[in-house]
Order: sequence, then C-alpha cells, then structure tokens
Amino acid sequence: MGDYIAGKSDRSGNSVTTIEAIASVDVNAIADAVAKALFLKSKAIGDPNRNSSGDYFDAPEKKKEFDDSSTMKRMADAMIVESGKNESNFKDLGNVKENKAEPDVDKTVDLLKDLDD
Amino acid sequence: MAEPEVKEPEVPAVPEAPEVKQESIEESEFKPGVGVDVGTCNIVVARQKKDGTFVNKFHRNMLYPLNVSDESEELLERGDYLYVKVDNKYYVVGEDALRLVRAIGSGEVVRPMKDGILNPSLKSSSELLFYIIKAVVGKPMSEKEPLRFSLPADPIDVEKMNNLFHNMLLNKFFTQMGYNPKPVNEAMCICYDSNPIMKSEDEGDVPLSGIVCSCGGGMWNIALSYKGIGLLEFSCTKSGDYLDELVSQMTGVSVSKVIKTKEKNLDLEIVPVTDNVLQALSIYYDEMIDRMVHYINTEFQDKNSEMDGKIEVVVAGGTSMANGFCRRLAEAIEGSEFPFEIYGVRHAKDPFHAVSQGACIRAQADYEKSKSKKS
Repeated sequence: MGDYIAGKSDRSGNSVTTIEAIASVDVNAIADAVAKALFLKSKAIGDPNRNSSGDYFDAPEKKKEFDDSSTMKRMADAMIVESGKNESNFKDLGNVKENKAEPDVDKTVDLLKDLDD
Repeated sequence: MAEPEVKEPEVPAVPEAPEVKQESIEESEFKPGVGVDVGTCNIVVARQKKDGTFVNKFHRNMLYPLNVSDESEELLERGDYLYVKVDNKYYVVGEDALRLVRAIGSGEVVRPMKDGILNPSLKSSSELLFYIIKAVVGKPMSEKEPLRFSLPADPIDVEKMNNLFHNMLLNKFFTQMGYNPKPVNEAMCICYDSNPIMKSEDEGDVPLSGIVCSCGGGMWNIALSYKGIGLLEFSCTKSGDYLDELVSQMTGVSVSKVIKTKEKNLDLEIVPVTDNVLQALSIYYDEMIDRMVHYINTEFQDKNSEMDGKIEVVVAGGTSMANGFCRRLAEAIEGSEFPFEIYGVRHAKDPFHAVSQGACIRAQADYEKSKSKKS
C-alpha cells in the first residue's frame, strides 16, 4: 500500500484530492507477466493462420517419431559375440535356495494362462 | 468337352517349430518354465519342482578385473576365486569379486549392468554377462522351453533411456540358448509371486490387484495391477546403487564398505547416532521412500477410479530388505495424498527371490497356454 496525501487545492481554487503513491513496485516483473500472458494468448487464438499448437496450418505435418527398432535389433545381433576364447575355472554358478510355494500358485498360473501380454 | 482335371496345388510344407520332448519333461523333477531376474546387482534363476518347491539360483552380478600376470594368477589360485579370462584380463566373478576387493583393501567392483541395463562403459560387458548367465541359467529341459526374464519399465527420471535394446539383447541371447524367451515387467513378477489382494465391497477379495514395488540395485520399479493385468508401470534409477554412491561421497567410505555395512548392519528401526554410514543410509532411505511415494501419487492419481476397493502394497527386492523398510513406507504413504485406500504394506514372503519366482510362474502359464492350444 502506498501513502497518500489528500485535501489540496489547485491554482483556480478547486479542491482536488491528490493521491501520491509511494510504493516499491517491480515494474519489470509486471511487464514480464503481461508479456507472457499476451504471448500465450496470441499463440493459442490470436493468429488465425495457426492451429492450437501454434503451428501454421499450411506448414508440413510434423513426422511421427523415427522408428529405430530395426537398428536396435541389428545392434542386439551384433552385440552377442561369443569369441569362444574365454576361459573360466567354473562350469556352473550360483547358490541355491529353496522356497515352499504359496498355496495359490496354481490358481495364479490358471489365471495368467488366459491373459495376453 | 471333358473337364480338365483339377490338380490341387502342392502346399509347401511349413517348417515346424522343434517339438518339445515330452519324455524329458516327464522325467524331469521340474515343471517346464524358467524365470530369470537379470538385475543390476544379482542374477536369480527360478524353477519350480513338481512337488511345488521353488529352486532359486542366485549369483551376484559383479566383476573385479585383474590384468593377466603371474602374480594375479597366483592370487586367484591361492584364494580359490572364480574367474573368467577375456583377452588379457581376468574377471573375478560374483561374491568372489567382492571378497577380493575386501581382501586387497582397494579398488572397486565393476558391474556388467548399470541402472538396470547393460553397462556401456564396460567394453566386454555383454560377453561377460552372457557367459555368466549361461552358467547360472543352464540349458533348457526341452527345446523352446518357455522362459520369462524380468524387464524394468522405462524410467521417469532419465530421458532418452528405454529398455528396448536391453530387451532385444536378452531375447536374442536366450533364443540362442534354445529357450522361448519373453520379457515380463519386473514389478508385475512380484504381483504373480505374492498375490496382492484388493478388498472390494462388490467383488469381495480380488486377487492379483494392488501396488507392487521391486526395489533393486539399479532401479526401483512400480506397477499397479488389477486381476493380474498391469495398468501402469514405471521405474526410477535412484535406488540402491545410487544410495551407496551418495553415502560413499558424503562419508568418504568406499562403496564396497558401504554395501557391506548396509547388508550386515542396517536396521531402519534402530539407527545408532554414532555411526556416520548408518545415519547417512537411513537419511537416503527416507529420501528414496519419499520419492517413491511422490511418483506413485503423481503417476497413479487418475487411476484411483479403476480400483474399486482397499488395496495393499507389496514390496520386494534387495534394497527393500533392511528391517523397518515397510514401516517407513507405510508412514510415508499415510502422510501423503495417496490416490488409493490402503489397508496394508507388506514384504513378499521372500523379497530376494520374488521377481524370479514370479517370472517362473508367468513362464509356467506360457507353457500351459501352449499345451492347451495344441490339444
């Protein structure tokens, strides 16, 4: 809130009320906010040649994302290299732990066999 | 005019898929179907015996490289360490890698996988990983035996990282081994193993319905399941390894020692104020749990209408095994705007083997499905 001074008169004697605002206002922040608001509006509805995404109607349609799955597959093939030169001092690995199954495992298998991935 | 003789065109024989040898299945003590949990920290393989018992084989997914020399050869022999030799390096494998680092007192273990996928910075990671997987998984009991391997969901915290390549690589590899492999979402495996129940007023107890969390080394994975169908899945890379590294940075203690302390001494119910490492672990565990709850809230917030009842949260994975983890998770859920009504938070019966067992159950269902199609 700014301070104000009231009850002065002008040169012709008419009584006037002067309000003098003395407050620290961040003018730049207000300007930024207004600019932002105007920009968003103009992008969405301001330009009749643009669609709601802000692209021109006659601009070439954006292509779908490039499908790189075949490259991935080729890379996977290339990565599986078994040089056959590896040597190790083990044949099998792993510590074994046995667990008794929950009673409803068979029911789960029955349910899952009817589900697709 | 006599009608021309119509000769049926010869249909070329369609090459058949190799037959599953029934004898070998009948003779085996195991049911057909293998589950493999290829995690950043561990590889776990599960098969189920015909009497119902799950047999899990566990191998720590770690390596310690040594240059080939007379000294290293002597060291390996003396310590009876298991190793693979690739080109001019020995790679000490599994638990032995950790044992060796601790014995030497310097250096760090390396992993063939990082953040849930193959470690791109390790030159021979794929070859080493496959060599190790072969030794842990073993041969199929019959040609094209169904195998399910766990696959993380795409992470929400890392852009441009997806699991497609990892999936294709493992698929190709298991196919070469003679299996019929398919991926299965890691968190959903916990659902199949631990059967979360939704309590609905209309339907009663609804099986395989709830939130499932797999807290591994490289990632945590979360899924929302309804009757065994994954409605939504996501993952995050800030899990166990991330915690270890942060604690190591903050305390100046090596990652290997942090891992040892975490696995042997961490109890989230009692954290001694005098131990910096345990204190730091406790603080970062809280952060990880808060992050999980935050993402559940944001990712699942529009899914609450699909769960018509009170649900439970089931947690598994090595990073969740510290005592008190479930209590802290339950408290974090209670203090948040959780999108579902929760009636319980619990661990899987065996949190360490829940993913491999769940994958095995899914593989068995694949076998049953193919059997019923044939008949």
